[in-house]
Amino acid sequence: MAQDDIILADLDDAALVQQMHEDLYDGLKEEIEQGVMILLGRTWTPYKVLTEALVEGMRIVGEDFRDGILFVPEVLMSANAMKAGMKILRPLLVETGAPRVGKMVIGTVKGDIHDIGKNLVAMMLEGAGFEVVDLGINTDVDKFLKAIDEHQPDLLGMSALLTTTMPYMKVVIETLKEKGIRDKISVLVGGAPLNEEFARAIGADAYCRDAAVAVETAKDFIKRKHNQRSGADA
Amino acid sequence: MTVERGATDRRARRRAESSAAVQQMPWGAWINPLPPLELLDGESLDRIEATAFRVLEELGLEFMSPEAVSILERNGAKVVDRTTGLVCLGRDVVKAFVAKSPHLFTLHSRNPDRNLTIGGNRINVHTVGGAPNISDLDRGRRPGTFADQIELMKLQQGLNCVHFAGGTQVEAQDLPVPTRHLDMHRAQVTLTDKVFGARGIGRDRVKDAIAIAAIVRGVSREQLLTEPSTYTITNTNSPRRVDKELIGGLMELAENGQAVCVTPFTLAGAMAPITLAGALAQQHAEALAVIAFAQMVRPGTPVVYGGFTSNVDMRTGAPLFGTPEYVRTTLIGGQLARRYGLPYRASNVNASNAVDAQATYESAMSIWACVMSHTNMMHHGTGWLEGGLVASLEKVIIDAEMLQTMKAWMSPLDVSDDALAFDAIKAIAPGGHFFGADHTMSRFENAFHRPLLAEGRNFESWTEAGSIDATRRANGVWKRMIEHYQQPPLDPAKLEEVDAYIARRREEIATSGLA
Repeated sequence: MAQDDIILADLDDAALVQQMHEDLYDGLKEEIEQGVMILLGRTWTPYKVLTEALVEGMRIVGEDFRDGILFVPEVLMSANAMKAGMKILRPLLVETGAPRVGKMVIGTVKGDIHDIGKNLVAMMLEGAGFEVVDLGINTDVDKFLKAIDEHQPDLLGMSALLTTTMPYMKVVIETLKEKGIRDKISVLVGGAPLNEEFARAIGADAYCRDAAVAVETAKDFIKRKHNQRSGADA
Repeated sequence: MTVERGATDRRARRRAESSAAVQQMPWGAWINPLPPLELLDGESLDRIEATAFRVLEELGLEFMSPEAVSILERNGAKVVDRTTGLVCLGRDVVKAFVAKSPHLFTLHSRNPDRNLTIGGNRINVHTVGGAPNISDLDRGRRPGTFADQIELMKLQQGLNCVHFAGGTQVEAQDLPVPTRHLDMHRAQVTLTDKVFGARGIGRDRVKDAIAIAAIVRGVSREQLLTEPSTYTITNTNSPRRVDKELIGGLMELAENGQAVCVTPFTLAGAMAPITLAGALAQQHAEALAVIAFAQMVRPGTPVVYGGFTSNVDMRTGAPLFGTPEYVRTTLIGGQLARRYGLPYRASNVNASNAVDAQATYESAMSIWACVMSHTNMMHHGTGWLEGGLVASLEKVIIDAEMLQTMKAWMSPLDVSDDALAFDAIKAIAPGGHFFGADHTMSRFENAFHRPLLAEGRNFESWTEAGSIDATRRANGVWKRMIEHYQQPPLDPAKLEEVDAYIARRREEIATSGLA
């Protein structure tokens, strides 16, 4: 294969970034790690590597997932490659004080052990550069509160598969209100039996019908948050 | 595992696939792995058959052709009325001649990859046939034209689950009747490379079909005698009558070694008794008599026993299909054909006026009946609507979806160690998922059957995309298929010969008409 012979270090910046987009698309973890290291070596800022090489690459993946071009396992491969790049970048991003893509605490609510959808959302978010704190299944309100306190996330994600457990999302949201922290965090909810109307009724900020939409919605909320901040600064 | 680098290629390929060519199963024989369903016990079948023989022995059948009557007489039939052509046939005569029918035969096409085995456990899907009207969502329901016939031919040629090119799928009502068949055959042999049907009305039309088949196959008439390359569906004019034109067509085919599918038109309550047992007895009598006649014309004539018994709506008199009555007669028809080892024809039929839920569930019931009855030739497999009055382009696609689904689940199931996947199960912790497992990664692209039409998007995505239901999606699929239609190559010398033949026949027909 001619393309297997590509030597990343020989490529100029533009060609390398282009190649990294393709390698992300192909879910090539080691190549992504290598590409990140090369760009950092060429004195790119970690933030520039993140946004131009990784996030942009995953945007293309997300687009093709949304359009039914890519299969779920392929997207997971891409997300894994992205995560590997993020692992290198994360400490450097903190050091350099770069703006973070976003952080989410996520969990399947109390009484519910169905988490495939939630896991896909978590992996896709990580793939998009988000930091994800996954609380797993059967998560009660105390566990959510503790994680929010500890990790100070931008977003809270809750999922449920059962009509009997989905009302618990409201319990969590009500508790956030009582504690006076509801306004500090955007609440995204999802799960097969949910819909927009339910999300509105329980006071969530958004309903996400699938993993691709969850990522788009999360990005959207982070953008809004940044805009609000810059608006306040002006 | 290793992944090839080449995202750009893959992305372009997948994007192209999703927007352009229709993904479908490959062309190939359809093998039925199931045993046929024996709905009736032997004693009940005996009673149906005994009644059929009583009909032939005591009441007889009208053959509206003196030539046919003399052949029947020579071979042991009793002529009851020479003016009407009413003849009675003893069961021994019928059985002796029916026994000369091959149990299995090959229909040859100009492309040998398209040859079809008729009989045994093969299911061959035939196109819609004989519809006077055409319909699609954009242009509505209208009388068929030659342009519509061409459009249907291109569509069905492109569908790998359809085995036959068909005959008159829809009538070309804009063409003059005496030469319509010539235009149809030219289109069939240039636009398709599948086995094509003759128009079995009178000897002359069949002669033309046989001559054209010999030209495009590049074989002699002698070779054609042992290699049937065209066929027709012959309906009796139930009850108990076979018309002159159809007999002429049948005789021409039989004399030349070509295939005949004999299908009594026995709608219970209208052209046959209202009781299914009685309608089946009449179907059996008519089918066996005409098959015996074909063997008298030429022993060894490839024949198919056609079952078409259904019921009518007794409030309107209109035919109904895909009904419990149709399912039962189709299953029992298969049993009756198997008694003689005859290849069997049944149909994918429905009576709905629109490509809707009724069209789909009646068709689904019909297809199941075909499969369980060991139908070898599934007539009207793709595109039939409104009890046969309409060929629908959207229905072609919906039928293809159902047929592909039916064929797909019949392929052998892999139970190798690799498929049993113990190691894959071991690799995933309780409560985990297999989306990212290596076992999944190396198989996901082709692990499952890919539908033509069905989609798995969630409600919101589907709504955002315009809430397009299966019928409307089918509209997009047939357009894409016709847009990407590929004409099979034909030797220009053969085409020239076909054209010369047709030109000569046009002149002859203009001066002396058709026989």
